[in-house]
Amino acid sequence: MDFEHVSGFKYRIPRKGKMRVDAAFYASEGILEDLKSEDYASLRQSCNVATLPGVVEPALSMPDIHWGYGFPIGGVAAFDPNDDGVVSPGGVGFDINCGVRLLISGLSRKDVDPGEGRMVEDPQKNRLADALYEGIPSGVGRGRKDTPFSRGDLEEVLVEGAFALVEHGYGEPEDLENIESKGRLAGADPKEVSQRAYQRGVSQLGTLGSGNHFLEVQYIDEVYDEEAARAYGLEEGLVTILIHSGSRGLGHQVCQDYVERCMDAAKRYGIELEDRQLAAAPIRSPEGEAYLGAMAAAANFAFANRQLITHSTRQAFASAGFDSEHQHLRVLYDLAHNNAKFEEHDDREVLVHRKGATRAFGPGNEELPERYRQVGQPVLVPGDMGRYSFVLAGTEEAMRETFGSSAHGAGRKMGRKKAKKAAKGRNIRRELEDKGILIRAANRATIDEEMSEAYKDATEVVDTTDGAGIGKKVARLRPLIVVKG
Amino acid sequence: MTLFEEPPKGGEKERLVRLSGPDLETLLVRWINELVFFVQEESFVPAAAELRIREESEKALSLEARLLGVPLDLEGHGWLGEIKSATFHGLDVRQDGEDWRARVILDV
Repeated sequence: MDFEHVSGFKYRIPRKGKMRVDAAFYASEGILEDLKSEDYASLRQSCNVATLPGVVEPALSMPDIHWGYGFPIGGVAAFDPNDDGVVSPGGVGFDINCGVRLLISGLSRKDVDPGEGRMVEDPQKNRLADALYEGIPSGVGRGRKDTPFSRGDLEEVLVEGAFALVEHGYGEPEDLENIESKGRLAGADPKEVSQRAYQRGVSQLGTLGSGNHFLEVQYIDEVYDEEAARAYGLEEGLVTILIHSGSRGLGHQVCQDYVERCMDAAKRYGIELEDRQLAAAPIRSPEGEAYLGAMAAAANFAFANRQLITHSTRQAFASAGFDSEHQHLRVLYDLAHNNAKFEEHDDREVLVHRKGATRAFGPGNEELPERYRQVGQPVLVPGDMGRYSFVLAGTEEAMRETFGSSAHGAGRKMGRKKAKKAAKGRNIRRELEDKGILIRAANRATIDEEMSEAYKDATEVVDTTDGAGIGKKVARLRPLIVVKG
Repeated sequence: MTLFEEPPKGGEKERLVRLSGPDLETLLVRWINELVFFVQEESFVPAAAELRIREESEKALSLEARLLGVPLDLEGHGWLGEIKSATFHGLDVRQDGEDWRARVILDV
């Protein structure tokens, strides 16, 4: 793999062969070693993305890049609709609008964790953990029996997203101000969503899912940027709640349906694919527009999903005995890390695909809530359940260099099988409790495969992101309670 | 299948499946996704199948299957984790003498 060091953490892969543009990636020495150990497989995937029609230079990889299916995870690619640019369902991923939402409470660590991690049996902490686990279905096969929306109502959710939930009393109008795109992507077309997708979605609204999805109660243990922290309302010791979930089976089905449809379309439009999973159609084609309509619908489902989970979280805190004044949970921000959006960059409208990458708009951007405009968009970077997660702020450099994008998480170091093997003979639950972290999960397999060592240390990703200027560190969050499927 | 440590060996609950596709690779992806749907959305674990693939025309294959299985038991079957989808990435189906070999990568 031929690449050049540009400066700092930035590298460029010059265009060659069928690549239409250069590719670029961000890496520390440690990340570079990881890339080398996989024989640069994920960078090769980025080079394949650079072969697609209408791609705008460069095809990008964020610091948390790893190998994916077609597009790498941590990939960002923009396409110009006026230059026969394409849209690719694989460039968004199966879990459309998988994303994260951070809630801020009025509570301090001592309110939730009076023993400060020293008392596993702490009744207050356990009561909250149980209330969250009971109130928010997680895990495979666990749909909601109390789902507030019927199959007929689901169309409204697919068009209106989180707005529909607030209208029906599952949240506050203020919540919507602090969600990317106000929790509702325009252009959603429920008619482009298959019956099978509806069937999968109807009982799953308001559920976490399984795998690496989670809800985590945390506390802020370090603030790096006082100005941004003040603007976001963050301070040391404050209790936060991080929710990681997406569009569930509905989104997976939409992606499955349209990867196949776009494979057919690619043949008819003469689009050469270096990998079938890069299946694509021109943005301005019936197939491209159909996918964008279905994708927006699935994205709205995901926003609504996280909104209903928020409502359930508020209820859980109340049932665990926290009074409404102190436990009031405000949405700091909610953002997607798998989607495709029309955005203006360098005075032209492009379709930006982010697959395992986060939008990170810098200061002054009018899309941001007013209170954040001075400091830039909150960027939420989950780590792993044993260590920490981070809040960053979007930067002007990100707007110039990465289509306003940043890293989205730590990335796995070990596959599930290897993680389970490493966990054999250990009690991961007990190890977490020894660190003051309570876990509630559907089964032991989930806990083992999600152990900390299965993930890279988020610090390296975040430090590289900050060092590259494409996201500025604001605060670090430590887990207290983890709910997993 | 990679969903369970101890997959069930048989069962009495039945499901019928009819699928079609332009080629064997696409049919395989659709078949796997159908099995995943049964497990993850309908809590039915297929343990055995009688299946037939027919060539309807040059670019049309059909698959008919009768599945026998059991209700999903996460702990009992040793649930290993959710599958989002079978992918077309690195997909390969080929005949090897009298046998067939396939490689398919699953998004987990």
